[in-house]
Amino acid sequence: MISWILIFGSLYVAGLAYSAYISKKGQKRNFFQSYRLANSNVGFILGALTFSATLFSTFTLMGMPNFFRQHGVGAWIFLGVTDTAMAFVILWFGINLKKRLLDRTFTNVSNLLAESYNSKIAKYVYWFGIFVFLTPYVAIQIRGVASFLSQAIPYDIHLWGWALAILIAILIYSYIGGIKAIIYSDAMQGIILLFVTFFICIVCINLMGGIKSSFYTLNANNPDLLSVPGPKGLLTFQFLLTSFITIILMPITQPQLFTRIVIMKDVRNMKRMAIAVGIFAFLIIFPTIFIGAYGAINYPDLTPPEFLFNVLVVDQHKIIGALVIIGLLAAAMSTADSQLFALESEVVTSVKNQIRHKIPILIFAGISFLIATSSSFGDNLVLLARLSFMGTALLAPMILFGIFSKNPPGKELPIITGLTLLIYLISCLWPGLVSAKIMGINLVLLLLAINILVALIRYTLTKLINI
Amino acid sequence: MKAKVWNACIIMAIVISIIAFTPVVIPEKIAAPFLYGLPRTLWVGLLISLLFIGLTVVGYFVSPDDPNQEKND
Repeated sequence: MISWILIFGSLYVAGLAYSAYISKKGQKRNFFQSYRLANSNVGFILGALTFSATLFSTFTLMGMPNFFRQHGVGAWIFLGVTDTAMAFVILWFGINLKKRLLDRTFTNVSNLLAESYNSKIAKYVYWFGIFVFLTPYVAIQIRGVASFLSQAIPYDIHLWGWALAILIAILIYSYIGGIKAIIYSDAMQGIILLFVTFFICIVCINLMGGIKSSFYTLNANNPDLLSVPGPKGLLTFQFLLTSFITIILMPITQPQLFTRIVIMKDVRNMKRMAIAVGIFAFLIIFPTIFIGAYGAINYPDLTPPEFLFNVLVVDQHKIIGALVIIGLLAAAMSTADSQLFALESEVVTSVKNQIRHKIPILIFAGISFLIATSSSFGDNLVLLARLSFMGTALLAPMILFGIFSKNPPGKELPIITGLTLLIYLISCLWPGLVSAKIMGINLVLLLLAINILVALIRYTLTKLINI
Repeated sequence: MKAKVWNACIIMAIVISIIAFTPVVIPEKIAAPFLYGLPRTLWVGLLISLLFIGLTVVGYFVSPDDPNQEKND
C-alpha cells in the first residue's frame, strides 16, 4: 500500500504545486483583489467545489461515520438535514448580500461590519468570535488527520510531525497562490472526497449484505441506533435544534464561507452554486450513514481512531486505502487552509507594514499547532467542531443586522454580542462557573435569543424614531 | 409573480425546518414504519433534505437574478 500512497501523494503534491503556480501567474493587476478575492470572478462549478470542500472535511469522512456508529440515525438530522437546509440559506443570504455589496467595496467581513456600524467595536467583536472559535476548529482538522496518519502510515512519525508537515505545506502554497491556489486545491479535494466516500460506502453495503440486511442486523444488535435520541441519549430535540440553527448560520458567520459567496462571478452563478452545494451535501453525507452502520455492526466497541483505521483502510482494497489516506489529508488541508487564509484576510488590512502581513497567519498556524498537539484534546471530532459552530453562530444577528440595516444600527448589538461570546467561552472553559444549560435550555440558544432580541428592539426603535 | 413565489419558498423553508423537529420526523424511541429497510427518522429525514434541495432549485428560478430586480417587481 505504501507505493500507492507515494503515487497518490506525489500526484496530490504536484497538483498543489501546479495550482499555486498558475494562481501566482494570474496575479498581475490589483494584487489585493486577485490574491484575496480571486477578482470576484469564480464560476459555479469551482465555486461549489471550493465551498463544499471548505465545509466538508475530515469532520465528514471521519467524524460522521463514527457519530452514526455511536448515536444512530439521528446523525442524518444532525448534519444531512442541516446541510441541505444550509443550501437554501446560501441562496437567500447570497442574493441579499450581493445586492447590499453593489455600492460597497468588499475587503473582508470585519471591515464591512466596521463600515455598517460606523464603529470599530463590531470589527473587534467579530475578530474575537472568529479567532476564539475558528482557531480550535482548524486544530481539530489537523489533529483528526494527523492522529489518523500516525496510525495508518507504518513509520514511526509522531502526531506532531504530521501536524507540522501539514501546516507548513498549507502556509507555502497559500502564500504563493493566495485564494486561487486554495480554490483549486479545494476542487481537487472535493472530487477525491466524494469518490472515496461513495466507494467505501458501496464496499460497506456489500459486506453487510445490502441496505435492508444492514438495518435488520442493527435492529437486532442495538435497536436504539434506529431512533432518536440514540443509545447514549445524546441526540435529543434540543441538541438537534441547537445544532441545526448554529450550523445553517455558518455561511453568514464564518469568514471562509462568507467570502466564497462574495467572490462568485454574479448572482446567477452564486445561485447555481447554492444548488450544487445542497446536492454535494446530500451525496457526501448519505454514504457516511452506511459506513457508520458497518462500524456499528462490526466494530461497536473500538475507539474512534481504531474503528476508522479498520473501516477506511484495513477493510478496503489497498488502492482505495491509499486514496483514503491522501483524501483525508487533502480534506483536512483544504478546510484548514481556507480558515487560516480567511483569518489572515480579516486582519491583514489593519496591518500597515507590508512585511508584517504574513505575521498573523503564522500566529494562527502556531496556535492551531499547539492546540492540535495538546494531549488534553479529545478525538471526538463532531462534538468539538459543534462547539466551534455554536460560538460563531452568536455573531449572526450582529452581522445580519449590520449588513442589511439601512442606517448605522448603533453599538448596543456589538457590545451585547461580545458579552454573549464571552459568557459562552467561559461556559466552555470553566463549566463550573457558567452552566451549559440554564433552566433546562441550552445556553447557546438563550444567548442567541438575547442577541436576536436586542437586534429587534434596536430595529423597532430606529424605525419609530425615523417615523 | 416571481417575487410572490420566492416569498412562498422562504415561508416553505421555515415550515419544513419546523416540521423537521416535530415527532413526525424525530419521534423518541420509535423506528417504525420502515421503508426499504430504512427506519422512520432516516427516510423521513432524507425526504426533508430532498425537499430543501427542491426548494433551492425552485428558488433559483424565482429569486431575483439582478439584485435590483427585486425593487422593480
